[in-house]
Amino acid sequence: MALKYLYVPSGYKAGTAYGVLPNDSTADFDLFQRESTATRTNKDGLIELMSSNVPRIDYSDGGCPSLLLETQRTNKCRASEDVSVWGKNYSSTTVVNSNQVISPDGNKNAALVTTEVANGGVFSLSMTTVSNTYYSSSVYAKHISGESKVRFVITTNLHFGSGDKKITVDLSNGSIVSNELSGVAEAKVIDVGNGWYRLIIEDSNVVSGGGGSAKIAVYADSNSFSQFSVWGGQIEVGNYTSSYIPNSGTTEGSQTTKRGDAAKYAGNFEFNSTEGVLEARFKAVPIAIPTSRITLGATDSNRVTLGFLGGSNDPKPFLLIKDPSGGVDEIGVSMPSSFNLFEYNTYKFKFQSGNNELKINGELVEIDNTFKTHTFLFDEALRNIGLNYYATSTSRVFYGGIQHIKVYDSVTDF
Amino acid sequence: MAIHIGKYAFNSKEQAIDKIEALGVEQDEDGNPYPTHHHTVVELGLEILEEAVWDEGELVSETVFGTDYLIDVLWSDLEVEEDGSVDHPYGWKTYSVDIDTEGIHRFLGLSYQDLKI
Repeated sequence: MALKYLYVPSGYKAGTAYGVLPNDSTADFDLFQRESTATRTNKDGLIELMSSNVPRIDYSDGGCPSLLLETQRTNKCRASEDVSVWGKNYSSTTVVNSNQVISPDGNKNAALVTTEVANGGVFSLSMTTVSNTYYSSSVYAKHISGESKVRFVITTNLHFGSGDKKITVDLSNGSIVSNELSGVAEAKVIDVGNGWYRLIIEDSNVVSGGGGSAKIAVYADSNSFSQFSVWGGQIEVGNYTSSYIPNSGTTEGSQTTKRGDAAKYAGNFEFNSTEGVLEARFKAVPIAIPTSRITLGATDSNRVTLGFLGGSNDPKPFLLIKDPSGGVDEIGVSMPSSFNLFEYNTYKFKFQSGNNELKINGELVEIDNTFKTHTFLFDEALRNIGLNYYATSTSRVFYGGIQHIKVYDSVTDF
Repeated sequence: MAIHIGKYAFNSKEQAIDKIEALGVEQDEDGNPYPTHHHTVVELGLEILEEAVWDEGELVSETVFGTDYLIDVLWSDLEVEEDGSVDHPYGWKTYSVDIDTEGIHRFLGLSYQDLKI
């Protein structure tokens, strides 16, 4: 009959992401942990470094902010911001001037690249890849004058084939005009504002027996005069690109790690119902772990979960109910083709013994009948929201972005 | 919460992985391993003896590696001794290295020189 719990990304301090309802500390994720700094996009659209243990309220998706929760990642791209120390291709006709352009972090610390030859431009200092590993590469680029198309390149040893692979991007509008990555990796271009685009080549696989020295590069696309700016190179292990990690080291092997976020749980609010609705608006990421979870629970034996599948599973929404009888039921739910798991969607999970249901963006979706009719009886109030397997667990941590979490104590709110 | 940073050079990758797993690993409901500790372990790989050489984007010679397998760890809440000091977990001290710089790897926003164990 009522909304019992509400989290919306808003207030925060070191160690705490404040909840909204109940209007006391039980709504707060007050064990928030991340033992390193990390970046977010602030409300002005600028990349901002956030101190250790400070939750990141992120505006990179525009509109509503989200609580950004990421796994540990390491940037292996040396001198990630100071492109003036990167290598120059066609060095006789390519000029690089440092600190000429306001970068995505709001400082005038981005280099200006001037060239008039195709493939003139800059390539990162080399790093070493290892076999049986997926990599994601990214860089920020901005058109300044002249020809607006650039090539974003990953070299040999950053994918399973040989030679360079590239996408060609028109920096006047962010469109990908040419893509050589079919079957090799995924390409994305993200508009980050002020004329800057984040060029992304992710999920490139270095196979068994592969690996070695590798680079990323940004080159001009034609034999025409071209000026562009390059900043914020990133090469990370993983099948998707994470928030930017500054890495100032220049010696070979230099790298910088951001620690993963652990929001843990908000707890002990009043929820004395054996049925209800767990609602969350979130964006998934292609995780390496089997499931990523938002859990409404009391104990290991009393919990319901809304999340998504990853690892070797097909990525899709995930539901779970466990009660003290020992009964546990869980399913992956086929996502309607009109929705994308990796974009923001609102999921409403109705848990009612014998009549469990799921809505995505207001649309009732088909779920397995065994799960739908699964019966259960909790013997404790479900009074905690954990962004993990349960409570302080380090397993099944939720990774992605969260724009709200709600708990209703009645199925009439479904 | 007390944090410390340690740098380690193990004899091999296999030895390093054994030490990491000894910090605590359990299996979840699906039988997949996950760490039960809160430390941050970063595998840096084999020590680099000679840098790769590139010429205008073409690889001339590959990186030459040594045999030491390098690990950095951000330790969280290590056990405090009676005198207030902390020490490496059992089995790690032998392989710890102490350097005067930040080294090739940093935890973003943290100083090894300030936090080294």
